[in-house]
Order: sequence, then C-alpha cells, then structure tokens
Amino acid sequence: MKHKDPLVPLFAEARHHAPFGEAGDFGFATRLRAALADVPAEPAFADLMARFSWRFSAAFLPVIAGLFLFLTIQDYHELPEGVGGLVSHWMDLFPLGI
Amino acid sequence: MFFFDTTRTTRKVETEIPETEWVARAQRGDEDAFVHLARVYRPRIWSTAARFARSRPELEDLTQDLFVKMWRGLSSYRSDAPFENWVMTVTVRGCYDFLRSNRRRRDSETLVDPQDSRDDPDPANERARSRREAWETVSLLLDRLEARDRIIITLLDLEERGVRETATLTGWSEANVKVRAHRARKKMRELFFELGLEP
Repeated sequence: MKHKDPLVPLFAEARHHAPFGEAGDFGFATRLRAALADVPAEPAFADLMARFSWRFSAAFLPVIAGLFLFLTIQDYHELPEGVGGLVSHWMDLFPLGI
Repeated sequence: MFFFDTTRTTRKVETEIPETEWVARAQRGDEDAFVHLARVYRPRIWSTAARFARSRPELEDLTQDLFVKMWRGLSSYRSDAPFENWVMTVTVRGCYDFLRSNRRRRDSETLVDPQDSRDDPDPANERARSRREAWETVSLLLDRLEARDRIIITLLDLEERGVRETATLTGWSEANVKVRAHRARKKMRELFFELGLEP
C-alpha cells in the first residue's frame, strides 16, 4: 500500500487561501510616489567626474611634475645654458615685449 | 454645467497604449507610467509577497520595497523577454532577500492574519476556514525551513510553477531546485509528524 503524503492535501488547501486579503488600492499611488521621491537619482558620469575632480587634480600633480622632468631631461641639449638663458628663452614666448 | 467627467475618456486612452510603450516611458523616467505599471502588476506581486510576510503592514512595506527596487533597476530590463517575467523575477529575488534579512526577527514573531475569525459560527465560511487553517499549518512548517528552501516550496507547491520557471525566477539551476525541493518536502514531512499536526 502506497504511503499517503500529508503535504499534498495541505498544499492543495493552502494555495487557495489569500493571506491578508486583497491588495487595497486606497492611497497606493500616493504612497508609491512618496517612496519614489525618496529614491536618490542616479548620478551622471559628468557628475561623478565633477565630484572626484579635486582628488584627480591632487593625484595628477606628481604625474605632471614627472612629465615636466621627463621632457626637461629629454630636451636638455636644446635648452639654453644657465638660468638667465632659460628665463630669456621663455621671455621670448610672451606676446608683449618686457 | 461646469462639471466634466473625464474619467471614462482617460481610461480608454490608457488601455489603448500597449504595455511596451508604458515600459519604455517608465524607463525614460516617467513616474506616471511606472505607477500605471505598478497598478497593473500589484495584485500578482501582492499575492506572491503575501506568502512571506507576517502581517499586513509588513506586506505593504515589502510590496513597496519591491516597487522601489523595480524603479531603480528598470534600466536593466531588456525588451526581448515579457515584462511580467522581469517583474516576477525581481519580486521573487526581493522576497528571498527579505526572508534572509529578517530570519532572526521572524523566529520570535507569529503570523497575524486579520482574516482570522475562529469563532465565526457561519457554516458558509467553513471552506474558507479550512483553507486558512491549512495555510497556517504550511506557514508553520515553512518558517522552520531555510530561506532558499522556503522560496522553492512556495513557488513549486503553493504557486504551482514548474521547475524550469522556478529556476529562472530564482536564478538557480534546475537540478538545484529539484534537489532542494525534495529535501525541503522531506523535512516538512518529518516536522509535520514531529509537531503532531496530523488531523
């Protein structure tokens, strides 16, 4: 004789019961809209960049310094001799005569 | 004279718009379109979430949380599958998260169903009472299962979904669903006799 599973009739009865009744519609849209209003908007890529820009600027200082050193060392032979020569060289780049 | 009933016209216009259009609008950030979709799918979400809540206020909160999850994750929906599948997937996975996060608290709480009316003398309600008692017994047994097992039994045996559908909704393999369902039913049977629940 096959053993009778007690869960089968239990599930059959239970699946017809709707716990807590039907979903009431009263105030549903208002509550949902209020909940949606509390959801923070997804930040755009530009906003994220702006938020972290000051950190990027600090992080880029050693990079810029390194790049300056690298270019200076690479073009060492093309630069004028001495500090005075260097200054006069850069002065030539100014649009106004000093 | 100055009263114009526009309800009928508005409803007609709303029903003429296909669901894909409502979804597309909601994905573009149209809150009204999302509220419309939420109204359509609310009964289905409510009936599934009701299997995991302990009280009506908790069920209201859970349903609300699921809608917020859907609103936030709406961009992840791809239109190559029916929107309903996506909604039910978010619902099932949201309910699973809810069960896991409330596991400890739930152990000390009892089911509070406002429909509870044991002293109702009306014989016409006998059928409903029998169903409610069966649900309470099932709920008692389900409470003693792991969250994962509870989700599987609810989907397979209470919502009568297939193994493949359950696997899709939960994101677990079909073999995993079958094995877990078998073990969970075995455990429920043992508990049923252990707790002396046979009539």
